[in-house]
Amino acid sequence: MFDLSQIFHVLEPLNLLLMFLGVFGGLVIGAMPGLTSTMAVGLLVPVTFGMHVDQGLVTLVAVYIGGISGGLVSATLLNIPGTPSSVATTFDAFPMARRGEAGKALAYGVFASFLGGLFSFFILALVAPALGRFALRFGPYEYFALVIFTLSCIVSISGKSLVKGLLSACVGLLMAMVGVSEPDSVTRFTFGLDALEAGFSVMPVLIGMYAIAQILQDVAFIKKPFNIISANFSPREFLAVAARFRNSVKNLVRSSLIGVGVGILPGVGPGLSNIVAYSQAKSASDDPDSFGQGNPDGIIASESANNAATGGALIPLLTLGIPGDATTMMMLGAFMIHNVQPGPLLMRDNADLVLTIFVAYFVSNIFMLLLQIYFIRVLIKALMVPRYILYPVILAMCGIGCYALNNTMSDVWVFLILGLVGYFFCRQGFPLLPLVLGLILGRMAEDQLRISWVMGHDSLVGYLDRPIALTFLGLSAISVAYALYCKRRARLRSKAGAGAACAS
Amino acid sequence: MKVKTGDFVTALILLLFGALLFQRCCALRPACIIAGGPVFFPKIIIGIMVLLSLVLIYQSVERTGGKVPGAKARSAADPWQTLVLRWSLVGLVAIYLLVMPWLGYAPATILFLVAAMCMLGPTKPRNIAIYCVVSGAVTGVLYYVFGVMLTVFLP
Repeated sequence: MFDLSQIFHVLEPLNLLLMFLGVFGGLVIGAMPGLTSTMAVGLLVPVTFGMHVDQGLVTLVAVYIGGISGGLVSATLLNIPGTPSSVATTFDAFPMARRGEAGKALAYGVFASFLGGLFSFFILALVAPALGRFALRFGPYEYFALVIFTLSCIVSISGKSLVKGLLSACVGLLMAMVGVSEPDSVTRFTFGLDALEAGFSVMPVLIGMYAIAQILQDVAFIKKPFNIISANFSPREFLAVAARFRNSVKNLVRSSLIGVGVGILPGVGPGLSNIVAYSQAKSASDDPDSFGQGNPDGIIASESANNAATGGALIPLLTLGIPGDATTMMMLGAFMIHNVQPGPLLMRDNADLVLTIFVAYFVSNIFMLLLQIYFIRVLIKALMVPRYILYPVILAMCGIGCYALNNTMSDVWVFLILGLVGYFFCRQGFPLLPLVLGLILGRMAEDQLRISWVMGHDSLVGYLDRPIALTFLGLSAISVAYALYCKRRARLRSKAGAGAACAS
Repeated sequence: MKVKTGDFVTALILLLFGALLFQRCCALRPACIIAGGPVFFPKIIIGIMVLLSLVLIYQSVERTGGKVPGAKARSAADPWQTLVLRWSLVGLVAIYLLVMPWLGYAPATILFLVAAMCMLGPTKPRNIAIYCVVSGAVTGVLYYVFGVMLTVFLP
């Protein structure tokens, strides 16, 4: 399937340099509290526009790896997770840093990240081609059911209210309908605006929703300086910690497996994997009470899981064209800009690009390790940049990035206006992920539903003869029902708790 | 009876939005109907959205027999000053986008960056000097990356 000589092409000096810079940029942005890996990819995507497709892809993968890994630094030294994927890292890394072992805590995190990423690479390389071959059997019935399954998964886990999640998905799906409907040659929902004839460009919407919403929420704390714990360490200390990983192999493998497994699920990704892996490591430990007080196993579980989840999240993206989380959604938008359409046909017809991504993934993990060992001081300096300087710079970068997409100001206005809509949604407790996923998958869902409608002679009974589609639809129903059950149980518990408090 | 205002208003907006889109759907007259037509899928989604908006309205009224803790906590964390700062920043970005086409990318960006930093951060002379240097450098780097390396025609 793969032409292995392509590996040498990927390892050309320019590609290596781009990967190095991509990982570094991702690490710096990921290390800054509030700036997620999603924003790292979003900010650096426009820089890849003018590149050759191979170069663009290796840079994007490198930024993704760096962005996820960078969260470790602020989680350890500030007790603030740089990215949602490092939430569980704070539980043990910060207590270690506070008792003067910041270097050790960082070293555990760095090596766990690297090994988790490496583990994930092998799973990605093994599973993705097989799943890609399987996905070639998918027709319109299966694809529509898969989109419904993806949306239901995301709606079920994001936000406190299922109704708000579903509403958010509906808004995203309707936004995807804006513009010309090609099969009918009819323009829909443009309200006379020529700029909307081609529909919403995905990247300005994504960048606006995640950048503007985040910055406007953080304005309240913009003048508050961070209290950074000082960290003294050397590369030699890092290597000494690596030798101690012999005792944590079981924890590492279990957490990495959890990471990959959770990462594959749509909408979950690294954000949840670290918490699941942490709780599993704690319950499997002989000394669970030490978790939360600076146990290195807690850091290993969290960091190996979140990096392993990156490979997991790439599996549905590459094989099915379905993004696993917000960052892979951003990457899907970027792939499209480079005229790369992820999905089973990519695996079959553009195996060289898939191999490029695999190699970039592997090499980026190595760069991530080296950069964090030798340049971690630079990342710590990045934490010191005041947010009142950083945020205007980010806004300017986002603005120019959106403009560069099509050389038009209308995309920049879309960035601002949809960013405000995203902020409004966040304020009202509406999750953004279903909205942007609805926007990305809306057209696909409509096309596949309409084709299946025609194939079923103006009915949807054809779904009953398709076991894969039925399975996806069944799983969608189960995930929504389970979310409803969990929310009802939580409500009853909180009512019972409030009742007990009143009685006492 | 108290109402969770944010949810109630959002649901009303979405209801109106749904009604408007439904009206647009009805106004569409395609030459021929292929595979359900161009409004087949949007009408399904609009229907679901309207239904969910009604559920949200019901929930926002029904759930709040007493205090609305979410709303109170949010207003406490959101003093007037932050509100002014937040919307001033949005206004500044809007002005930046408006003036960029006729002022040009570089002058507009430098002015925007300095103004935004002054608005968000301290305004001692030393700080302002730093803002000017950072703004100039950032604008230069962005111009080089996009205007020179990627040959994007900047305003």
